[in-house]
Amino acid sequence: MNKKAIIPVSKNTIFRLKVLAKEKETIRRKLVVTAKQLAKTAKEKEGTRSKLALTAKRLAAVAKEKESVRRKLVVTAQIFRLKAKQLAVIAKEKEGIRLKLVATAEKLRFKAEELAMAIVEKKAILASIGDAVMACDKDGKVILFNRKAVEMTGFSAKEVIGRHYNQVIKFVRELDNKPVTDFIAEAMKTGQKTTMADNTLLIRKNGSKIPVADSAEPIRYLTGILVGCVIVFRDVTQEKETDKAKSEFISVASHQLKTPATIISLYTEMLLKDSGGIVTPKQKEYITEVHNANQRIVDIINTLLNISRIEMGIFSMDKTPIDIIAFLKNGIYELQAGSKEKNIIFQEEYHQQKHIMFIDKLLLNMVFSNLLSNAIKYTPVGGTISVKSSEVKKDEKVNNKIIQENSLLISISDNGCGIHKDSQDKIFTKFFRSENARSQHTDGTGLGLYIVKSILDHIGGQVWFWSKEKEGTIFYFTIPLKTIKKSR
Amino acid sequence: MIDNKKQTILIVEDELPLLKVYADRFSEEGFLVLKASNGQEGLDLAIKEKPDLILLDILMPVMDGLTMMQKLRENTTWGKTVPIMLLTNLSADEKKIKKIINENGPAYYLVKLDWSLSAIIEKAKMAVLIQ
Repeated sequence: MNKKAIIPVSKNTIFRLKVLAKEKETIRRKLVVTAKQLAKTAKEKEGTRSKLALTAKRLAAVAKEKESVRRKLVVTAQIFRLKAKQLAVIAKEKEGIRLKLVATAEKLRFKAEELAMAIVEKKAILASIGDAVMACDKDGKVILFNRKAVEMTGFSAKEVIGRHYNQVIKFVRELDNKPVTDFIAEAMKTGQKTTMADNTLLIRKNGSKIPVADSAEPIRYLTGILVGCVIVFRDVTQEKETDKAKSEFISVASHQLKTPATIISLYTEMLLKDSGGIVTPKQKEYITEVHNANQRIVDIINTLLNISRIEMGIFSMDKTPIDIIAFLKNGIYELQAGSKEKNIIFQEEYHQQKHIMFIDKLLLNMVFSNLLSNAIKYTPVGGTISVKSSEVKKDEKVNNKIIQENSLLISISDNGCGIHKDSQDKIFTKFFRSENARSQHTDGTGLGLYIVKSILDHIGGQVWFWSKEKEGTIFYFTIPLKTIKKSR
Repeated sequence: MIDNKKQTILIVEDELPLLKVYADRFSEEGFLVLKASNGQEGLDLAIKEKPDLILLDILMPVMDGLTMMQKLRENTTWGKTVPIMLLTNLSADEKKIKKIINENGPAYYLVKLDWSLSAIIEKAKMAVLIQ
């Protein structure tokens, strides 16, 4: 520098120096600006870096989340795979079921066809059947009414179906034109087959009446639930006429038999009294046999006559006041005396000491002695017979039977051979004798229970029984407490 | 019986074996027996002989027993009181028969088949005694 000072400085040089300084200043300024810009850039870069760092951090977080999601997805995928497997199994099962259903549907179609056939068959049978058939549901509404029923009643199926049977089809007693006991309701109530009483008339649409016989049978599902009832009835006009002719014939024949039977009876009596000279003891023995056999003929004749009288409706009723209890006691006493050799134990149980009723003694005796002598007949030596009396109320149920009116109930039970199941619904039928009765006692007529039933029908009483083979039998009969209906 | 005189019985029966057996039995018992085989014959004999008792069948030819009884009761003073035992095997119309018998006492109703000879004799003796 010293040198410079020494060296004279030319104007030119100063100028150049000044330019140089100016340039330098410009450069410096530029540099400052550049430095500033650089600082700014650095700052910006720093900003960018921190942003990048943040972004990196975020990305890391996202990555982490993604990883977690991925893991979850893996688990889910596994679950799905499992589910898919299960679904496959279910699908297989479903396919199995579907196949079965298809098979069932096929069977059902087949069954439906069978049913349709059965219905056609049923319709054909019902249409061609000789008896009138009516069916009702459990509420008593008629659901079926066949052609014969239409013909017999005069009502068209349309007029009957859907209505309660009671509103249209009416049955009355021949005796007094009063409605018969509702045997249809009884069948549905008790769940057992019922038959209507003898001498029942059907009132036709035009008001005329025809004698009918019929039965009502309740229908149940296999489960035992009552669905309804089938009623079958038929016109018995012809049968009635035949029956009447038969009764008249029996009546006449029996009357004709009475005189010879009387003659035999009286002449054997004479011989036994030695009226025509002394008869040897041996001869008396023989004559006694003739006399006894004749007595049996007499009994049969009387039975037959009673029946024809009942059937022809000429049974005269002679009502007198009777103490029923004394009557029962006496009846037992008499029959007991005749069966001493059987050593039967008689038990008696009465509801009161004395019970007066207005009734025909002869008729009552026929009922009671028939039932009691049956009990004695079919009870083994040393057996037990019990006779009980009680009062029963209307609609009460006694051994499956619904009581129709307030009545006196008499039961006669034994521990005898019982009635075979196959015979049970026939025992009140005329001339019917069950197999075991026939084998044990050859001399019965098969008329006793028929008489009992006829008499009780006549006086408005009921008769029924319970019986089991080798265990015994209980017969029940009722006499209405109200005045007994008068016969014609 | 108080007096020694034999009691007379008239038996009216169309069935001869029965007529015979009743007659024989009553004779054995010491009765004087008159026999007739229908109602008309019986009525004539009764009016003529005035028996102490009449055993009378109901169903007979010519005249039945009930008619004979009614005629006897209507027409003669003696006939009004003679005891009559009506024998029958009829079982129908019992009510009607019993009614007629009740109106024509002293009369009794006997069902042939139910009555032994001894029982009839006893009843007859009673009937005569009551008279």
